[in-house]
Amino acid sequence: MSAVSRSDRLYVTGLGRLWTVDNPNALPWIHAALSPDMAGVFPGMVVDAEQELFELLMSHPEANVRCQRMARVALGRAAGREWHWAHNMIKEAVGSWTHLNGKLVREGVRASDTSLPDWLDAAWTVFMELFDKKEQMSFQNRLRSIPATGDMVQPRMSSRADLMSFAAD
Amino acid sequence: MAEEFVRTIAGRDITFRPAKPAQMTAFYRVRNRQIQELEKLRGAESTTETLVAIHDLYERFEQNELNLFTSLLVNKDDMDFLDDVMVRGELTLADLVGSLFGNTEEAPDDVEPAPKQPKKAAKQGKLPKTANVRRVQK
Repeated sequence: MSAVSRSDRLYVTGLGRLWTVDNPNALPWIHAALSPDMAGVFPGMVVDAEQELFELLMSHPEANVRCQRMARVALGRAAGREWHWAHNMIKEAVGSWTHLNGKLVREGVRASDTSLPDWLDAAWTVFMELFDKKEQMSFQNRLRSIPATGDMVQPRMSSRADLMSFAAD
Repeated sequence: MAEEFVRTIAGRDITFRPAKPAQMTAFYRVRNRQIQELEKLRGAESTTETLVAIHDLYERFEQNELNLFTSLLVNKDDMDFLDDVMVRGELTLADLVGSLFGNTEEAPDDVEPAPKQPKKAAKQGKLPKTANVRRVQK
């Protein structure tokens, strides 16, 4: 079991305020994480303040870039891991969806009623069982790789270690 | 980075920058919320308050469309030109938005692509074994 707390809401700060992000189960995260610029996560999964967010996006010169950063932070917090690890894992999973989802469903793990961290754990184990040693190493490297595009500002509190130390405080 | 593009509106070439995914997502979220509010108001008792609320909602709806449209203009003086055209009644806001995003009033029909016939069977004039067609007995 992942050490991350499960909550149906999470919070990110940006553009001068705190935003509430919906955190229901893995399925919306899978869709949202693969949307262009991760706009499906932020602003897509923000629960309230639609009008305010829209007006900010129309007027703030850096709003789009900052939305993308907040989307990464939100994905990292929902997954309880580095955002890019979760993003890569989701990409791998969607690339082999029929096989992976079939296996997971047979084991009783459905993306629509499993939290994102649990679903990522389950998907990871399916891949690891599928691969030999060499393929496992290559798979792990692919998961750790940071996407080449976009700015690479590391969001605060996105790693498991950061979250653990925060929880300990 | 996506390139700017030109649309001819009311006889003038106007340059736009492409909308960012975050902008469009935020726009549709507001729109969905407003549609929900509208449904609620239409279901409620028709009083002066509900009629005023519906009117306000339409105004906000249009204001958001205009804000999105304006934010995509590369040359802000184009907006003055479009303002004049709208004041003269030659163009409505819906026309303006439609010229940029296309008319979204009616969604296109779903179309199921026809399965391809295997080449060999098509050549011989035979139906493929999987075709859902009953052969007529002679």
